[in-house]
Amino acid sequence: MNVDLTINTDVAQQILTGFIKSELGRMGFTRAIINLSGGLDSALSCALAVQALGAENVMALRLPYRTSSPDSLEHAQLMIDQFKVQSKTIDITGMVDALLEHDADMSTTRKGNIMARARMIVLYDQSEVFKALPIGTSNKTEILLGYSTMWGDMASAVNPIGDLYKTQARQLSRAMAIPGEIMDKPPSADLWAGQTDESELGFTYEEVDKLLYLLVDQRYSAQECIEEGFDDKFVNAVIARVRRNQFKRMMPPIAKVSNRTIGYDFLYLRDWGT
Amino acid sequence: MLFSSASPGRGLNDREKLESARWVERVIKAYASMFTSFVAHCNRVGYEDGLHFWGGATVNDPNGELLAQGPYFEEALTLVELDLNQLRRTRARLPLLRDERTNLIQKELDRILSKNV
Repeated sequence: MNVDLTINTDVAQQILTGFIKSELGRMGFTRAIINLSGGLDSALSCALAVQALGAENVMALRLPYRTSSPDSLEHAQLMIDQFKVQSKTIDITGMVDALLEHDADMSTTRKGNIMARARMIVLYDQSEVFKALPIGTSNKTEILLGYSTMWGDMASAVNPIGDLYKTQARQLSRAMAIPGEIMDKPPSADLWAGQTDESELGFTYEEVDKLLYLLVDQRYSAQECIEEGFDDKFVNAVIARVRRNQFKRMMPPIAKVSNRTIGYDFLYLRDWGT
Repeated sequence: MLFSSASPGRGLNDREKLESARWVERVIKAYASMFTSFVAHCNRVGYEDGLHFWGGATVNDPNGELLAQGPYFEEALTLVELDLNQLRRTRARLPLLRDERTNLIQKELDRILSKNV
C-alpha cells in the first residue's frame, strides 16, 4: 500500500505560525502559554508559538506529579533552554492527591483523567497571570481516536497542530529542530510509570495514520481500505473507535426549545466581529 | 476575465503548493487557453477561525501562460501590463472563439435542459 503522509514543512510552518499570530491577535492577545509535558506534541506547539510570537511572549509550564518520569521534566527543560521561553514549574501532586485520597481503589484511567484535568486548571489559571492564551497540543490522530481527556489535555484556546497526524507532527518537529531526546523517545502521556501510547492503543502511529488518512482525508470506505491491504479487524476497530469518540470532538448538544438556539440557528464564527 | 475568490487552503502534502492552489491555478490556465483570453485571479489572504486563505493572485495570457503572480499567504499589490494585441495574435493562430457554433450549443443546451425537467 502506498500512502504518503509527507508534508512540506516550510508551508506548514508558514500557515501554522500565521494562524497562531492572527487568532491570538483577533482575541486581543499577544502571548501564549503551553503545558510542556516533555513530549513531542507540546514541544512542537511551543516551537510554533515561539516562531509566531517571539520567545519573550511564550510561557512554558512544567507540571509534574510525584510519579511523573524525571525524563519528562528534563526534556521539557531542554525545550525551554533551546527556545529561550519563559517558564514556571508547579507541582500538581498536592491538588491531585487531595482528590485521590477520597477513593482507595481508583482506576488508572480515573487517576490519569484527574492529572490531565489538574494540569488544565493550572494552565488556565496561569494564563490569567501571564495574560496569555493556552495553545493546544493535541494532534489529529489522538483527536480522531479520542485518545485524550476531555476538559483536560484537550482544553485550549487555539490548536495549531490538530490537523497534523502524529507522523506529520514528527516530521514538522524534526524540521523545527526539536531536541533529539524528545524526538526519539516512545510517545507517552506519562500518567503512570511505563505507559506508552502505542502499547495502550494496540497499534503504531505509523500504521493507524495511514489508515486514518485514507478513511478521513481521502474518504475511503472500510471495504476500500481492506482492499488496499489493511487487516479487516484493524479497519473496523479503528472506525468504531473514531465513531465512539465523536462526542469528545463536539460541544455538548443543547436541547432546542426556542426559535433560535445556540449551536443550531445561532451560528457565528469564533472570530465574529473581529 | 476577472476572477475573485476567497479560496481556503487545503491539501498540504509534500509539494510546495497546496492542493487547492494547484487546482485553482490549473483551472485558470485552462480557462485562459480555452477562451483565448486574459484571466486575472485575485484571492483573499489571512485567517478566519481555523481556515486560511492562500492569496497567490495570478494573471494568465490568452495562451494560458502565467504573466505574473503575487505571493502566497501575504497581502500584495501585483501589477502587470497586458499587451492587448496578444488577443489578436493568439486568436488568429487558435480561432477557438471564431469557430464556436454558438447556435448549436444553445440548441443542445435547451434540449438537455428540457429533457431533464
